[in-house]
Amino acid sequence: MIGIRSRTAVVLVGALVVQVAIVPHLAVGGHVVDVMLLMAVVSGLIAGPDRGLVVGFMAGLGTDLIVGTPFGLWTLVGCLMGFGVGTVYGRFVEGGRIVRIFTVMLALATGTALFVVIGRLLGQEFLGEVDLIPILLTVSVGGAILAPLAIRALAWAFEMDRLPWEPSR
Amino acid sequence: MLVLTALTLITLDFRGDGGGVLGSARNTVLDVLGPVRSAFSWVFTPVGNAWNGITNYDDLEAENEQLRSELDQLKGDTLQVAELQRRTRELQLLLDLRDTDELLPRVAARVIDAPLTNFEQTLEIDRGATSGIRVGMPVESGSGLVGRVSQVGRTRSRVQLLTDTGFAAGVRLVRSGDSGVAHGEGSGRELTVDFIELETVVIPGESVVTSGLEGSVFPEGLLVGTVVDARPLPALERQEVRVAPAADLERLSFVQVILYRPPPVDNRPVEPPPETSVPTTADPGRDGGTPETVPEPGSSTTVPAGTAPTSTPPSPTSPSTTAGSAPATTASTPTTPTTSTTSIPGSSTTSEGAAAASWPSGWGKLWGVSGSEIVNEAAVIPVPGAWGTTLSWSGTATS
Repeated sequence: MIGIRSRTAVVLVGALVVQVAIVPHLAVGGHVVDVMLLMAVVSGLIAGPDRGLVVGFMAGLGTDLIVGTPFGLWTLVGCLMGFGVGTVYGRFVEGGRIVRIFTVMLALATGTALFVVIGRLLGQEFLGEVDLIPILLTVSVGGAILAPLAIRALAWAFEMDRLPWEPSR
Repeated sequence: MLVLTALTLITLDFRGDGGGVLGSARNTVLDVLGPVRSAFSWVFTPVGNAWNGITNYDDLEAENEQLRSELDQLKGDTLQVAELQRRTRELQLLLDLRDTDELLPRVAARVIDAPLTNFEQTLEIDRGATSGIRVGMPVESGSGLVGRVSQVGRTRSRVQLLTDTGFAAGVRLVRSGDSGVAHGEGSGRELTVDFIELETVVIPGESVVTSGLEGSVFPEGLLVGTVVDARPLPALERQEVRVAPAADLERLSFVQVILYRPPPVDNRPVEPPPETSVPTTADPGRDGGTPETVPEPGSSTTVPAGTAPTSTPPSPTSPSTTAGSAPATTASTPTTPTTSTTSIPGSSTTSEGAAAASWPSGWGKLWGVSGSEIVNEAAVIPVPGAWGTTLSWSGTATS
């Protein structure tokens, strides 16, 4: 269990470094991929709601440490998305690669929109003025491209021999 | 449990007003990740430039054309500017005036990186608290205002760009002298300036500078940008002006942080000169003949000493009060415990983003009070709710 925690921490710190040091250089129209939210979503996808919740919490906390929006907002969104995807995928949604990609894209877009909605409820009026559509497109499409890497990294962190949708050897 | 923890963090952040332990944690992370970002920036900047070249090729081509034509024009202007500067200096010497902007100390800083997330227009610079930088200080490039410092670590700082949707600053149109509030509208978009009078002639290309009005976090006269166009809003008796930032926010390598701390606001109520006194009743024509009443001693608008300000910004189109009702904006002030501020129908209250924090607790700031003597200027109107009905203000009144 300690091994899993350490590995997860390594993966999340690595994701945070990617988010702050590499992703800004690859912005499209000023919009960037959200690697930390991707981690929350993917952990729910491959390891279920409980682990999705924990990783979502840690990933969100990491994001909160590097941004200027109210502290805890991304943490809350990470929790909800990690738990939500873990609950929905496998119970209500199941399918091949295409379905998984769409699940990730939809979850990333939902998480981003959720951040805006909760932020506005908390009085962050400026969130109502952002151009959300291109942001959602960048986050979801970019996330889908990076998802295979995130899945491999988190599978290593969780010491999974095989992914849930892979046939047993 | 974790969701509850997240909610607790949000609550703590709101209670600590972004500071406290959570703010310190953010500043520490800023310092820790700073060198990592610098190292990656060194490696990835060429990659980023190539990526920009691919994704923005058409824009770059058009921009090159525009820059060439601007360069030609600027070459011609340079001689004229030099002559004007010489004459200005002569006049300043003659009048024994000194340019306040030149007196402000500055710290040059290197821009490390671009915005981290989609909801913030920020950049990181390689100077922090050890260089004297504090939250709220203005940041400019050679060509104009860039933004303001939003977070300060020991050796790193984060700058909120003026295109950030959370950015607001008091500005002035150079030609007409009209003041307004500029808001960021997001990456790559022009700023919007509100509260410009409908009658004001706004010319595209006109320069827009910081107004430096009392309580503003910016000194007067920093170039913000140039007017793109203006849209009249007859219903509000104002016009909305779009302003293109003067600084090229996409290609910043170095910036200067102006070590400017706004002077403390003079809290002492000043008796208004008789010819520009603020009426104690509203213009009857604006709200159907309903005069605005100034709170009587002991009325519901008088807030006990020590209570937090409870301000409800009124809509510019709808008067904030009705007959006999209390003014919408009431607040206590630490210096005059039973003093409250009142809004005037047709007015709107606003704040300059983080600048609002620099206003004394319990003091309101009114913008664009039309239908009375105060027009398009910042004004603080404390009303001695317990002892009388005399209104006084600090700020400038124009008719």
